[in-house]
Amino acid sequence: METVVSIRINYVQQARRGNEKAIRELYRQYADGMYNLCVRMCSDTELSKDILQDAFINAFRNLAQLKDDNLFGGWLKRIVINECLRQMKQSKRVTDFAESSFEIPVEEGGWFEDIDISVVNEEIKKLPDGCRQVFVLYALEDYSHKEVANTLQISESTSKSQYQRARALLRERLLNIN
Amino acid sequence: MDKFKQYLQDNRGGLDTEKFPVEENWEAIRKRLPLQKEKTGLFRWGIAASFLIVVSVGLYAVYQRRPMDSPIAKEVPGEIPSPQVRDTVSNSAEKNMGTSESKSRNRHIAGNKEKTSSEYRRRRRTKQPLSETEQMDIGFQAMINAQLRTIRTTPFYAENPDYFSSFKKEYGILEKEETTLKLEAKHNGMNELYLDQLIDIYQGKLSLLKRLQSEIQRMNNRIRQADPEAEKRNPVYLNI
Repeated sequence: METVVSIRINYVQQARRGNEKAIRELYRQYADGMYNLCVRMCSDTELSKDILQDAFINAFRNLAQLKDDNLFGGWLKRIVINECLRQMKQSKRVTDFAESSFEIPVEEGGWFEDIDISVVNEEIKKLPDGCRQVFVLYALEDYSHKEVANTLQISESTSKSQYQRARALLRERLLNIN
Repeated sequence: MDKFKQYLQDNRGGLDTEKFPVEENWEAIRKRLPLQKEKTGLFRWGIAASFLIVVSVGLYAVYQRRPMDSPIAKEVPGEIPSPQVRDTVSNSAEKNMGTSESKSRNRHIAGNKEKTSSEYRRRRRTKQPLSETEQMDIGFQAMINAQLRTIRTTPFYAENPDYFSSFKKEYGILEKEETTLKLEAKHNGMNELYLDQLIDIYQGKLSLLKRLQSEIQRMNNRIRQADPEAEKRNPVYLNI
C-alpha cells in the first residue's frame, strides 16, 4: 500500500514538472472514478465528458497549488465537483434547492438490502437536481452536511432536508421496482 | 451514520459502473496542457553520459591538484597522519569542542562505509550482462564514492564541526530517497520515471558533495587567514 502511495506521489511530482507520461498515468488512474462522480452529480453523460476534460486540464495546470502530493485524489475530486456545479449553472440547469420540509423518517430497517446495488445506482442518477447533488455528496462522497452546505452554497438545514427528500424518493421508487 | 448511507458506503465499489473513454479524450486534454518536450531514450542517455564525462573530468582535475593544495602535504611532507574522523551529527557532545587531538574521536577512514554493490560484483564474476541502468548506476556510484573519499580525507580546522551537519542531513535524505526508489523500481520494474528520478538523485548527491568540498576549502582558507597556527593543530575529518 505504501508503495502504491509512493508511486502516486512520484507521478504527481513528475506531473507538476509537465511530464506527459506522469500526467497521462494520473489521468488514466482517476478518469473512471471521477467520471462516475460527474455522471451522478449532473446526470448527463455527454456533459460529464466535457466537465471531466476541463477538470483534468484545470487540475494539471494548477498542480503547483497542491500542498500535499498525497492528497491528490481528494484535491482532484473537489475540482471535479466545482466544475460540475459551474458547468451545470452555465448550461442553465438551475438547481432547485427550495426549502422544503421533509420529516426525518424513523430508521426504516434494511428495506434496501435485497435490492441490487446497480439498480440503486441507476435510481440515484434519476433523482431530481438539487436533492441528487446533496445525496451524492453526503451519502456517497461522505461529506458532512456542513461541507455539503458550503460546497452547494445552501444552508445546513436545506442540505439535511434535501437528503431526506432524496432518500424518501429512492425508497419509494426502489420498493416499487421490486 | 444512517443504515442506508452505511449500506451505500459498504457497496461503494458497485456504484462506479460507467467507463470513461480514456483514450478518446486524452488528445483533447493533452493539447491544452503545457507539457515538457518529450525526451527520447537516446537523448536521456546522452544527458547522463555527458554529465558523467563532465564530472569525471572535474574529479580527475581535483585529484591531480590535490597533493599540492593539501594542508597535510604541506604540513608533514612525506608523512600522512592517521586522520581523525568527526561525525558531525551523531556526536553531539563534541559540539563545542575544539580540534585538538585529545578531544576528537579517532576513527580510521578505512572504517567508513562506502557504497558498493556485491550483487554487481557477483554478476561480473559470473559474467552476467548488466543493463544500461545498472551500468549507469555503477558509473554514478563510482563518482559519488570518489567524491566522498575526497571529502573524508580533506582536513578541516572548524571550531564547530556541526557547521556541516546540514550537508550531512541533506545527504541522508538523498540516500533514503535513493533506497526507496530502487526498492520500488525493483518491485515494479524500472521505467523512465524512475530513471529520471534516479538521475536527479545522483546529480543532487554529486552537487551536494561538491558544495560541501568548496565549503570546507573556503572555511579552511578563512581560518588560516585568521589564525596561522591553526594548521599546526591536528586537523579533523568529516565522516559523511
